[in-house]
This record gives sequence, C-alpha cells and structure tokens, in this order.
Amino acid sequence: MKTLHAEYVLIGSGVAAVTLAERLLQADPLTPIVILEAGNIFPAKDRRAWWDYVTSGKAVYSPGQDLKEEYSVKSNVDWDCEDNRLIAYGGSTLHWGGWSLRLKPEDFHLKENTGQGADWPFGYATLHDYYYEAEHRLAVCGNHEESWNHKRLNQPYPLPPFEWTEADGEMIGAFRKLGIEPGRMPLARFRKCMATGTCKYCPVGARYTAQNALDELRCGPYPFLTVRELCPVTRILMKSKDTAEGVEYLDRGGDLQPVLAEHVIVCAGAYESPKLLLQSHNTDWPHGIGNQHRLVGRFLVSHSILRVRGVRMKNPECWIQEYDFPTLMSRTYDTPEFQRHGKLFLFKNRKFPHLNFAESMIKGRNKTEIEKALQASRIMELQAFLEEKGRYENHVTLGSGQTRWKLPTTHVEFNRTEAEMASADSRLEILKRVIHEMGYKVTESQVDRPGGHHATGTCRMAISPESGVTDPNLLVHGTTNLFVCSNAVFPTGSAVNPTLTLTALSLRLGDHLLTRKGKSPRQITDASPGTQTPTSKESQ
Amino acid sequence: MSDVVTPPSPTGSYCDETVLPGLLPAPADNLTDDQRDALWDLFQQIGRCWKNVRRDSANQRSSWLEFITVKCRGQQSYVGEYVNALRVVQDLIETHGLVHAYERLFLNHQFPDGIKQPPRTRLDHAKVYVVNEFIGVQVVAGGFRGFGGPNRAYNYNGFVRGSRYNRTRRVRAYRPTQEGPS
Repeated sequence: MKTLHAEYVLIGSGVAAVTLAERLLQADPLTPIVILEAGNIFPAKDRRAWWDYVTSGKAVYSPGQDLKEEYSVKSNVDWDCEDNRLIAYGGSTLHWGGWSLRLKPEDFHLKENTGQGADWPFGYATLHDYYYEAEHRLAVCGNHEESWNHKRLNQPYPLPPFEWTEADGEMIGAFRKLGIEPGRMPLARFRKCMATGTCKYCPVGARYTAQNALDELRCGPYPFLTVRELCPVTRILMKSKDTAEGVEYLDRGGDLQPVLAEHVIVCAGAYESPKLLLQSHNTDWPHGIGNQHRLVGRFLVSHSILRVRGVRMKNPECWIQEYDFPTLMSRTYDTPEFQRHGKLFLFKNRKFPHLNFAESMIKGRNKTEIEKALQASRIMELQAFLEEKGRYENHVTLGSGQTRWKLPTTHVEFNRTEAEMASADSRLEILKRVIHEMGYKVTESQVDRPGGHHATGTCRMAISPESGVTDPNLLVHGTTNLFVCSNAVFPTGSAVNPTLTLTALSLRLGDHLLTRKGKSPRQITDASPGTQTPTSKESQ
Repeated sequence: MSDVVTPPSPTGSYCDETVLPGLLPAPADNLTDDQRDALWDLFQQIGRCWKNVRRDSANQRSSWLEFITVKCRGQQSYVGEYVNALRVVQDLIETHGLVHAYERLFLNHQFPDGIKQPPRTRLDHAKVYVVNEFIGVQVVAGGFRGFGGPNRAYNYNGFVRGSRYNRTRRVRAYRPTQEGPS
C-alpha cells in the first residue's frame, strides 16, 4: 500500500477530529488531511436499524461499545467499564444525549478558588466566542435569558429551547419552593427534529453526531481528505525528540502502514489519547511521548452521578415521559459557592415517569390491567453530576492485552477518598429534599459507579510541563507539532457534560493551526460569532 | 388464510414443532400479496384485542408496511418468520377457534422473552419475532394513545410526533398551575 502523506493526520473520528477538520478545510479545501479511526462504520439514519432499535431497544452501534473484558481495574468504587464509550466512526457522539452546556468562569480557576485540582491556562473569556460558534455547529436549543446564562453577553442560542413538559411540573414547583432555579436543558437538536423519542438512534439525524458531520464532509469539495476506518493507530512516529513525523497504523489486512504528516493531532478521547502517547515510547521518550514528568494518563476525572428516585402511589394524570431527553435541569449548585465541596448539576431523569405499554402487552396484560397500572403509581427521579477534582493517583494506562479493535486494553486505577464519598452522600440530601417536597416517597438513593462516560484530565493542559502534558494550545510539551485534542486536555471536569467545551477547544485549535500557517482565522467563517449565524447546519 | 398455508407438519402440531432459535430460513425472497394481507390481519388483531386504536388500525398501516418491508430485506430477512407465523396462526385457529386462537397468542401463553430464554418452538418464534415486534410497532405507531383515556399522552418513544415548528402540540406541556402535588 502506498504511504499516505498529509499536512494533518487526525487520530479518531469523533466530534473533536471532525470539527477540527471542518475548520481547516473551510480555510483551504485543498488541505491534505488523513483521519484514522480504529472502529467500524455503523449505518446511520437507516430505517431497518431504526425499527430494530424501536422494537428491541438495541442500537446498531452497540457492538462498538466498551466491553468489561477489555479493561483491568483497581478501584475502591467499582469503576464502570461497560457501554461508556464508543469505538466507532463518529465516536461517542453516536450515543450521546446532546446536552450542551458551557463551563462557567469559575471552572477555569478551580485551584485558585479552592486549592484543589488545577487551573486552566486561560480563562472563560478565551473560549467565550468559540462556545457561541460551537453552539451553532451543534445546533443547541436553549434559552439565553435564563439567569444561569448571564455570562453569555447577549449571545442567543441558534434555536429556542424545548419546553418543559407537564410531567416536569411537580419538580419545578419543588425546585422553586427550595430556592432552586429551574432551567431548560440546552440540547443539540437540529431544526429537523421530529420528536421521535429515539434520540439515541435518530432516524433523521436531528441530534448532532460526528458521523453525520463527517459523512457530509466526505461529500464536500475536499479532494485530499482521506478517512480510513478499522485502522487503529499503533504508534506516533518521531523523527527527532521534538518533531513528529507521522503515525503508524494497522490496515485492514493487518499490515502496518505509515502516514507521514506535518502535524499529528490525537483526537482519541480521555483513554486512548494518553494510551497512544505511552505506547509510542522510544529512546528519546522512554516513558511515552510527553511523559517526562510522568503525567500522561494521570488526574483521571469522572463525574459522580447521584440519583434519588421517588414513587407516588397514584398517577391520575397518566403522566409518562414524552421526550427522550430531560427538559428540566438546574445549575443553582453549579456556582462558585459550591466549588470547594464539588458543584452539582441537577437534571430530571429522562426515563421517568414511564410505562412500557408494549412490554405490558407482551406479558399478556389486558387493557384494564394496563390502565390500572398506568394510574396506580408514578416514579420520578432526580439525578445530578457531581464535580470531581483530579488527583495524581487516579490514572489510565496501558493494559496487557488487545481489544477487538486491535488497540491496547485499558488499565484504570481510580479511588475516591473518604471525604469525597462523604461529600457525595451529603449531596444526596439535596436531591432527597426535592423528592420529598414533591410529595413522593424516596425509594432509592445512591451514588452511581464512576466510569469513562465523561472522563477528562489525562493529558491536561498547563503552562509548564511540570504541571501538565499539553500547553495552552494543546501542543504536547516538548514537541513542536504533536497535539492532543480531546477531553483528555481538560484540567477540570466541572459538573457538566464536556462535549460543547471540546467542540469549542477544537475550533480554537483549528484557528491556532491556521495562524501558525499564516492564515487569519476570522477570515474563514461566513460570519463572526455574535453577529449572525456562522453556518447553515442548524437550519437543516 | 387457507391460500397462504404450507402443508401440515408430518410430526403433529405445527406450533409445538421444535426449531432452532435463530431466524427461520426464508422460503422465498419476499412475501406474496396474500401473505402480506394475512399479516396485516394479524396486526389488526392486536388493536382488536387491546382496543387501543381507532378505525381498525387503518392509521397505522403505512408505518406497519414500512416495518415489514425493511424487515424482509437483507441478510436478516424475516420472510421465514412471517411465513411461519401465518402457519402458526392457522394451526391455532384450527385447534382453538378464531377468538381463542388470538387470546392464546396474545394473552395466555407463557412465552420466552426471546433474550434470556430463546424461542424453541414454532409458536415461540411466532411470538418472539412477529407478535412481540408487531405489538411494539402498534404501540409506537399510535397505539399508546389508546391508554389513559382523556389523559393520554401526546407523544411516546418511537412515535414520529413531528416538527416542533408545527402548530400542533408535541407533548403535554407544562403549565405553571401544575407545580404543586396533585
């Protein structure tokens, strides 16, 4: 096979790689870019796959999800190894919920504010305009006038929010009585959303996925864009200590092939990004590229998920959940006052209240029995993400085996301290108060197992190499042309989902790379953020 | 129904004949028109049994047709399962009569769930691969609105409710008067 040459080789095909590729190609459609993806392509917007999902609940991309046997774990809290991530063309956006929230200004100064965790090497203001552009790219539906949005500086969302449902009413009332400000969940849904309630496999592509965006990119006027799936990258090739030469990958025939590139960008998530750096050790980098201070893979941060479920022994309104996403949330506890003990992001569980009519019918219940069950009781559940602070001891590294995708398996070491567990338990009381205020009896209350679903921190940014793996422009310290663009670079995870921030970082990296080439980033987009809609994707 | 049947099993009750759990092989590339009509009748029986649809499921026909069309394509074709199901229904009708045949199929028989307990007989196959899936389609194509009376839901997971930019309501929306416990 012929050696591929590119200006940029991107490892991974999720939202980071696709956003970055879009940015670079918008500036110069003739840019040679190679995207290498270890996983497979699963059909998107496929009617058979959709109907199978509707009737069985199983999505066509489920073979790409994590398997327990591809991990080894040392943890005092039973780290969750299944179904968190997707190794697939399009990455984890194939199964994400589309929740798109910005970090808040205080999240960039965690260490300064609390003495814990780390600070970002720049503040919120640096990402402010990139967040706005990211919201347009992902078509985020939200209400910019809600009080928690006060830092948006009059940047409206591209689309209006989804309305609260009738079944949200009790929780909204309880929130208000307890001084918790209810908000509408900002969601990435294009205008063509048909409210099918099958968001995890949208039949029309209304929920942003990197897969659909990459498919569109491949149909565009970009003759030197090459995408290869089922091609895991095995190592980064260095021509000198500080300069990457390209990567080596396994082709479909099982042979090693090189891609030579002027820039190597690792867009492989919080697990695979550090693992690739470690795997690429050589005589100049005996412990892995960029690992001179043993920070690669360290400071693994998860989101603790808290949940409190309540039941009410009547449901005369016959409420059931009518959207496949939560419409109600609150950032009242996602403020500087709560940073020291961990911020909380509250949201109503999208799955409740619910009665699975088909399941009841399949079990042989007749109509009277089903009606009775519908009105007999209803369940509501309030959940929360609890912010965690990164600690050196919690880390990801190479496992000893190989996965289905011919990547090294993952070894995770993650422990919560007694203080962290006590803090999580005490935070449950906030959720319980809400459920009680609603007039429900609490039936379950727990802190879920941590896992890789929002993992961050493992190649974190810092000004100095003694404190982080990547510099403020995502360049791996000690190199001139090797970058990491994934959740791994976040110094803090805050209490909200990382995807919007990752999209903003990807846009920023794109501009940085263009500046290095002598191109002015603001000449590229159709409109500057803050003035008019940058792209037309949200009108699809 | 007699035009679409296969000859009776030489070993006895067709329904109880043991088969492997995977998809049954397809005797043809596609269904005949008569087989499709007979399957539609089976689908309509769901609505007649649970009385959760109007106009004898007429509003759901297009969704159902799309469903069986895609199910009859490609490597995972359901043609064999659909032909089997029609034969099972015929066998049940011959044994139990028309009304009790569907009661047995829908309500009375303790079937395996198809996941932890794979289907072992032709009757199991008809339940797991055809009846259960038809029920799923029926519910999401509008049958969910047959439960709850005047408080029925506007939307349900799997139902194509429509664009949020239409004037019709997509969901039962929040009103501030609903904030207290009911």
